[in-house]
Amino acid sequence: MIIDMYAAGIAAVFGLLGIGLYGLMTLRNLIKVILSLQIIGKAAVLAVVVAGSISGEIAIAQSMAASVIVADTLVAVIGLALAVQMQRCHGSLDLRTLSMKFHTPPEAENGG
Amino acid sequence: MPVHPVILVILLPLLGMLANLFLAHRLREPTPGLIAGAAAGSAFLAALWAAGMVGAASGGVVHVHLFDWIAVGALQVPWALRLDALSAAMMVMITGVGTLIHVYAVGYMRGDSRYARFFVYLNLFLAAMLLLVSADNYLVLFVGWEGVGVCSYLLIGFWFDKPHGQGVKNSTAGRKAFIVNRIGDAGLLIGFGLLFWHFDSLQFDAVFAGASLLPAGDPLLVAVTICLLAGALGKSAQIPLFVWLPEAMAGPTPVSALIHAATMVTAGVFLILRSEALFALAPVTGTLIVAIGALTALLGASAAVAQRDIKRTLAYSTISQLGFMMAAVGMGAYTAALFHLITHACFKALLFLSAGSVVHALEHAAHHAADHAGRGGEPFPQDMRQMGGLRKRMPLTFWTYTLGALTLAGAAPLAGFFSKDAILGWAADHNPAAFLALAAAAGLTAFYVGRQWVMVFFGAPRTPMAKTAVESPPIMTRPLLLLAGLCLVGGALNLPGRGALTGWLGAEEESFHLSVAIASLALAAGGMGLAILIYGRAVRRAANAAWRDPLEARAERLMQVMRQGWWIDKLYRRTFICAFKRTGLALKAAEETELVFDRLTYAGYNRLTEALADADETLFEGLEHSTGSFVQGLAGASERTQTGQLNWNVVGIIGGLIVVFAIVATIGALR
Amino acid sequence: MLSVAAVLVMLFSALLSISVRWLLTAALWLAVTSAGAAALLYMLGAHEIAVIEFSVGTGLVPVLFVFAMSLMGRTSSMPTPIIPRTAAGGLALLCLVLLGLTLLPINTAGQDKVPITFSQILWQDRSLDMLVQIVLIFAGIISVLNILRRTDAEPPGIRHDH
Repeated sequence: MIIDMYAAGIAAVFGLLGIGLYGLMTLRNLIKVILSLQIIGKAAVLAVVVAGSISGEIAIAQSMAASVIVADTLVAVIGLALAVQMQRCHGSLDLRTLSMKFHTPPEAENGG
Repeated sequence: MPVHPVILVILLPLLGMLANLFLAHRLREPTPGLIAGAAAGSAFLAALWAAGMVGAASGGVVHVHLFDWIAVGALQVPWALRLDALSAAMMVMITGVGTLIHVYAVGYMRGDSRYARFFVYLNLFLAAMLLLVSADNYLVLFVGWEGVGVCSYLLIGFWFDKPHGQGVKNSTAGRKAFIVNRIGDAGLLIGFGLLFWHFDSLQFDAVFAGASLLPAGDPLLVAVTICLLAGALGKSAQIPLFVWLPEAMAGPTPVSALIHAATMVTAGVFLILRSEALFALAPVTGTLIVAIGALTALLGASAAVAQRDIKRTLAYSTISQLGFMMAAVGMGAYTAALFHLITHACFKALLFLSAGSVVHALEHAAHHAADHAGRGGEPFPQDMRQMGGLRKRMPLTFWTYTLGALTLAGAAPLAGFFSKDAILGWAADHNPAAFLALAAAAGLTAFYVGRQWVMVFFGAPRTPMAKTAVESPPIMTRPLLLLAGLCLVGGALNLPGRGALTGWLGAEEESFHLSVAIASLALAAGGMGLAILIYGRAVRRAANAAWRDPLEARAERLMQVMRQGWWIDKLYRRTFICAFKRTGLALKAAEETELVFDRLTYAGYNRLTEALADADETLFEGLEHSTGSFVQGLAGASERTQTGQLNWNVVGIIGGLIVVFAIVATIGALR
Repeated sequence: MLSVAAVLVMLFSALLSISVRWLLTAALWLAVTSAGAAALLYMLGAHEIAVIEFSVGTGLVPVLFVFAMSLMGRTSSMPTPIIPRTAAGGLALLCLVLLGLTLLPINTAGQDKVPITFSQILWQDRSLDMLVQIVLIFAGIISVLNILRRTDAEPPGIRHDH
C-alpha cells in the first residue's frame, strides 16, 4: 500500500514536469508561461517530499519544500507584475510580438 | 558574544550599504556619501585591529566560525572566516584604498541623479571583496567572488541612461565584463567540484593538508590548478580573457580606480596566492601562468602605448601590471606578487583618481564651453589629444599624477621601484625568458606613462575646454595627496634586506639584485626620456585637437592594431559574436515564415554547403577571417535555436537536459 | 487508491489549465491541481507542507492570477504555437524518459531516522534560510509595488522607437 503511494507520487512528479515543459514550449501568452512554471514548481515540491518520504527524512524534505513554495510563489508574483506592466507599456502579452519589439539591431550591439 | 574584528570589517560596509539603501530617500546629497565613507573608514580601523591580532594568534591563523551553512553528508561548508597574514594584508589594503576612493567619490559624483545608489553599490562591493579575501573555504570565497562580479557589472553600467547611445554602450560594457568573467567562473566551479570530489572538503586547511600528501605534478593537482587559473584569468583580466577590462572604463572613475585597478582585478592573483599550496605542487601550471603573465604584461604595455583615451591607457596598464603579478606567482615569488599587488593598488588608484580629476575638470569646462561655440570638433573629455597644458590649470593634480607616473615607471625610491624589482630580480634568477619579457614590458611601461604625462599636462591647451579647466575641489584632491604619500613611502613595506612583509608572511625569499635594479632604472629612465623627447616636441607644435600622434604618423597601421588590443577583441567578435549574431538574424528571417520545420531541413542543408564553400574560399584569407566563417559554418547546424524567444530558449534548455540525462543514463547503464 | 485518484485529478487539471482558452478558467484549473498536490502531500506524510501548499497554491496564487488579469483586462488568448505541438510533446517525453532512466528504479527501503519535527528543522537548523526567505518575501513585495506603480512617463530603460 505504502509503495503504491510512492509510485503515485513519482508518477505525479513526472506527469506535472512533462505538462509544464510542454506548456513552456508551446504557449505564447506570458500569463500561461507563468502558469506552466507554477506546474513545474508543484512537480518540484512533490519530488522533494516524495524523496524525503522514501528516505525517511520527511521533516528535512518539508523544510526544503517550504523554500520551493516561497520561491515559486515569488516567481509567480513578480512574473505577473511584469506581465501587467508589459501589457500596459507594450499592449501585448504575446511572446513573439514582444520579442520582435525588443530585438535590437545588431549594429547597436557592436560597441566601441 | 565578543565580536571578532574580522567580522566587523565585513559587517561595517554592509551596514553602510543598508543605511543608504533604506534612508536614501530622506537624505540630501553629500550625506549618503559620508555614510558610505564612514563605513569604509571604520572598516579600515577594524582591519588594522584585526591585522594586529594576526601576530598574537597561534600559527598566525585565526578561524572565525560564524554559523553552519551547508551540511549535507560529507559536504560541510560553514560560514567561516580566516584571518592570517595574507588576508589581513589584503583587508588593510582594500579598506584603506577603498576609504580614500569613497571620500573622492563624494566629490566626484556630486550632482549625479543616482548619488545614493552609487554608494550603496560601492559599499556592497567592499563587503563582497572583504568576504572574498577573508573566506575560510572555497565556497565562501566564491560568494565574495560573485558578489564583486555583480557589483562590477552594476557599476560599469552605472550610467546606462546617458544620451546619444553612450548609455547603451555603457550597459553593453557591463554585460561584456560579466559574460567574460563567467567563462572563467565556469572553470573555477569545475575546480571546486574536483577539489571536493577528491578531498571531501572545501575548507582551505583540509584541502591543503590533503594536497600535501600527493606527489608534485599529480594530474589531479594540475587539473585543479588549471581550473582555478581559468577563474583567475577572467577576474584578473589576463590573456585570453582580458577584453572586458578596457571597456569596463565606461564606469565612473572612482569605480575604475577601486574595482578595475586596485582591488577586484587582483582577486585572481589573490586566489592563486591563497591556493599557493596547490600551485606549488603543480609546476606545469606554474609555467603556464608565467607564460600567460609575461605575455599579458607585454601585450598590455604595448597596447597602452597606442591608446588615445586617458582611462583606457590606464586600463591596459592595469592589465600589464596584473601580468607582472601573475608571472610572479607563477614563478613562486608569492611575497613579491603580494608586495606588487599592494603597491600597485596605491599607485594605480592614484593615477586613476588623478585622471578622474582631469576628466571631471574637463567635463565641467566642456559644459560651460558648450554655451560658447566650441571649435575643434566634438569635445570628448577623456581623449588625451584634446587635453594639453593642464600643468598650469591643475597644479595639484599635475603633481600627484607625476608622482603616480614615476611610481608606475619604477623610479627609485618610490613604492613601485621596490615591488617591480622584486619580481624582476626573481625572474632573473629563475626564468630568463620571463625576465626578458617583463623587462621589455617595464621599458614600455615607462614609455607609455611618459607619453600620457606629456600629452595631458604639457604644451599648449589644445581645446577650449582644456583652456578653461579648473582644479578639482579639495574633497577630491585630498585623497590624491594621501595616496601620493603612500606611493612615496610604500616601498618601506618590504625594503630589500629587511623585508617587513616577507617576515610577516613568514616567507623566506629575497630577490632584490642591485644589477637588476640598476638595469630596470635605466630602462625606466630611457623609456620615459624617449617619450618626453618624442612627445614633448610634438605637443609643443600642436595647437588644436586635430593633432597627429608622432608615432601614428610613422606606423599608423601598427598603432591601430595596438590601440585595439592587438585585435584580440576583434577576433572574438568575428568568431563567437558574429556567429551568434548571424544565427540570430537568420532565425529572425526564418521565423517570419510559419513553416519553421520545413525550412529547417532545407535551409540547414543550404547553409551547410554555403559554409563549406565559404570555408574553402577563406582558407586563403588569413586566420582572422577564416576562423570567423568556420564558426559561422558550425553555427549553421544549431542556427535555429537562438531567437530571443522564450519558447525556443526552453527548447534549448530541454535539449541540454536531454544531453545531460543521456550521459548520466549511459554511465549508469555501463556500470 | 486515494493517492491514485489525487494524481489523476492533478494531471487532468494541469493539462486543462494549459490548454483552455480562457485565462480565468486556466487559473481555476491550476487551483485544482494545487489542491490535488496538497492531498497527495498529506498522504505522503508531509502534513505541514500540505497545508501550506493548499493555502498558497489553491488560495493565494489563483487570486493573484485573477488580480493580474483584472488589471490587464484581457482574459482570452490561444495563438498557434511557434513550435509544433508534436515536436514539443516529443521533446518533453524524451526528457522524461531519460530522466526516468537515470532515476528509476528507486530503492524504497527507507530506514527510519530519529524523528525530528518539521518546526524544529525549520526554525533551528535552517533558521538562516528562514530569515533569508522572509527577506526575500519582503523584497518581492517591494519590487511588485515598484513594478506596478503607475508612472506617467515610461519606465526608464525601455525606449522603443517605432
